[in-house]
Amino acid sequence: MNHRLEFKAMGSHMVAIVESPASRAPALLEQVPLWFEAWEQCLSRFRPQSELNQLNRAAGWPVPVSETLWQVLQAALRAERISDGLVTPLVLEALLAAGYDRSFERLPAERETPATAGWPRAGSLDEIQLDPASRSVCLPLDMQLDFGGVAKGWAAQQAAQRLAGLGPALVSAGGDIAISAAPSAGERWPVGVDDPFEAGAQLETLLLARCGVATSGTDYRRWKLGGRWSHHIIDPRSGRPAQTDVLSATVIAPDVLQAEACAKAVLISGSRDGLQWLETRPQLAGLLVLENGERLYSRRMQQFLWRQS
Amino acid sequence: MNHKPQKSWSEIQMAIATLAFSATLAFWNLFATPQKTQDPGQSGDPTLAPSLEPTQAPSPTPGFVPVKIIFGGPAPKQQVVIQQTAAQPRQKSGAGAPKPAASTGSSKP
Repeated sequence: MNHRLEFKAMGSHMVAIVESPASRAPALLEQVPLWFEAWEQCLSRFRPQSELNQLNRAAGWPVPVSETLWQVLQAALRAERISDGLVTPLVLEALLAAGYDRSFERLPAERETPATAGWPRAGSLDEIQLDPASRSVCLPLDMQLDFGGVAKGWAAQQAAQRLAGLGPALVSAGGDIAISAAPSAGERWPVGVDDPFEAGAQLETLLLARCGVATSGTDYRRWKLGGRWSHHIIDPRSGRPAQTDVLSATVIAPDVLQAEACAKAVLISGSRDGLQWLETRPQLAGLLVLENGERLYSRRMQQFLWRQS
Repeated sequence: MNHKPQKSWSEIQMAIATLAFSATLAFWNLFATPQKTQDPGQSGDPTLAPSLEPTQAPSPTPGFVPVKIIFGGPAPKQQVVIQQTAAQPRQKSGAGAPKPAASTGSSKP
C-alpha cells in the first residue's frame, strides 16, 4: 500500500511516498514536513537566524556546528570534488551580485538597476578548517557559504532513508529525487521528466529503482537584471550566471547528491562538453534539453526510458 | 373627425419577430427527420471512453429521387466524438505511459 504526502518546503514542492503495510506509516509520513522545517531552519540563507547564516557571520572563528550542518558541508565538499569544481558552496556573493538576494518567490521579475558587479576572491574550500572531533568549522575571513541545491538533495536523501525503515520510499525535494528501493511488486518507480517549454507536460517517463535523479535548469528561476536575463546557476569560473546552451539537464546517479551535483555541472559545461563528461562516467545517465528545443541523451539513458512495448 | 392611434415602431418590430420565429418553428417541425435513439451501450458520461463504431457515410443516391424538398432535405446526422479526460499531465513520451509517482524538473514552488 502506497502512502503519499505533498507539501511545500525550502521554496519548493515536496513529495514523500512510502510503500508499506505498517499501520504507523501514515503517522511517520506526517513527520516529513517537520523534518524539512528543521533542516531549512538550519541550512537556509534566507532565514537570518539559520545556523548557516550564524556560521557565515562568525567567519574567522571556529564554530561548533550541528550534525545536520556538518553532514551538508561534507556533502557540499563531495559535490565540489565530483563536479570537478563546477558545483561549489562558495558562490554566495556571486548569487547576490546576480540579483538572487531573497527567496525566489519574493524576487521581482525585473530589477531596474544591477546589483554590485564583479567577482570577489572566491577562495578555496581547502582553506576551511574542519575539526571532526569537536565538529567545528572555521571559515576564512570574507568567505561565505551557500549550499544551494545540495541542501535539497541531502534532505531528500535523509527523508528517504528514514522512511525506508518501513518500506520502499521515494522523496522528491523540488525535483531532486531520492529512491531507497524499487517497489515490492518488482516494478520500478515511474518518474516524469518535466518539459521546460511547457508547464505541466513531460518529455519522458523514467523507470527507476534505487538511485537518485535530479534536474538542473535555467527555465524557471530566472529574472531580469538591468534589462538582461539572469538566473541562479553560477559558473564559478566566471562568477556569473552560466552561459550555456543547455536549458535543463537531468541526471540519474547512484544517489541524489551525486545526481544533483552532476546535473548542475553538465548544465554549466554546455551540451558538447557536458554530454562528453557524462559519457566518461559509467555510473551516470543524462538527458539534456537545449535552448533550441533539441534533446540529447547519453547512451546509458536508454535503459531508464519507458517505451511502449 | 376620426383618427387612428399611431402604433410605435417597436411594437411593429416585435410583431414581425414573433411571426418570423413562429414560422421557423413550424417549418422545422414539418421538415426535420426524427432523432435516432442513443445506443444503449453508450454511456452519457463524457469522461468514459466508449467503444465507438465508426460513423458510416450515407450511401450515395442511386439516381434522381422525385422528392419535393423545400428547405435542403433531411437534417444532418449528429456525430458525437467523446474524448477521455486525462487525469495526469499530458505526456509526450506516448499514450499509455504509467502515471508518474513524481517528476523531476527545475525546482518549482
